[in-house]
Amino acid sequence: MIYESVGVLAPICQGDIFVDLPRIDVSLRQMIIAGDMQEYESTWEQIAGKGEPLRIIVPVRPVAAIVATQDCDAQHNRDITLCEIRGFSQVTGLEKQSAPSLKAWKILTQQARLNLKWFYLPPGEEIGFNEKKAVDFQVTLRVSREELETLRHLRKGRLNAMADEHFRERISEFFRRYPYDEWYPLNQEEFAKYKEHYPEAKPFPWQQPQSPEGQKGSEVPPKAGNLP
Amino acid sequence: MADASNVEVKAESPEFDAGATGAWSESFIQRPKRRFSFPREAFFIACLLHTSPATAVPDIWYSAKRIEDAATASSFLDGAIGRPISRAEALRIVDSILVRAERERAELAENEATHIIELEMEL
Repeated sequence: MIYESVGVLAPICQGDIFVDLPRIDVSLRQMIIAGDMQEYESTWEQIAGKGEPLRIIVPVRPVAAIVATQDCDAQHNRDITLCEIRGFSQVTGLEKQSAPSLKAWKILTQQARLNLKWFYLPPGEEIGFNEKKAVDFQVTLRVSREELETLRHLRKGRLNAMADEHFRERISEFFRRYPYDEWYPLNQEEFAKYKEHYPEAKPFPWQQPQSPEGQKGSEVPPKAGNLP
Repeated sequence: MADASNVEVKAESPEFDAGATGAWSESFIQRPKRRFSFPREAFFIACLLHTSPATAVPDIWYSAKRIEDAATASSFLDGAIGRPISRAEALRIVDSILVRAERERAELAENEATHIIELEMEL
């Protein structure tokens, strides 16, 4: 498919796919402090202001991940950032919804173009994916470059040139998005339809019915970017 | 055990030819011959060599800081911050953090997918 093999000694590059890397989940409202003799349950708010280094206990799960760091940084920086790869339906939530009109090809082309939060990875025996996968740009891992280089045998392959170029653009698009309220150019009628799907959307002054006294008293919506 | 201050006192004693270490007070030609009392000098040098190097001497500042750090950490953990729990409970909580994080991600993805599908069907 869209993957290619890579030699064990080849430098780490953006688009390289690793397996069994540690994804750590930290809870700010429930933090376990490892004391010398005793464990303590606390919250980050309680301990953050102390300015003291602490030892905590966190859960970690081995996951597949793809290198997000660009090539030059991946060879020189201290740390490398990767994005987690999970099952396609887990990342997108799409296949669990049984919508007859939403064909697979439509999801994988049109939706992949519209939704910038994930990147589709098809099954590929050469890389060990026996089902559809997706990169979740929202879940990142950070590991030491030198230590990852010693674990290059965990790299199962990398994206081919076509997919790599697409991945590079998609990840940059994800991080350069800015939050805006996408309904701002809709007219009143269009906004009413939009609000049926997104009840939390608040109209801009120019989307409200004009009162006899002009726009006086119109409600200004909160700061932009409240919706995806 | 000799320390740095003992050495300085000895070096500044009248019997020790400290002036011979510099040429700024007299000419080299007229400099008097350095007196050397073998037994006394040898004893002094032996004492110096026998003395442990400064780096091996316990650093009282470092020790004091360690004690202070330990005290801080202890009071930090024993204070109002945090509830003491057993190791088993700690592990249970840690497991629940992992499960909760994964569940919340899945719920968010499904919620967004629902919106997408509704819009798709309408178009």
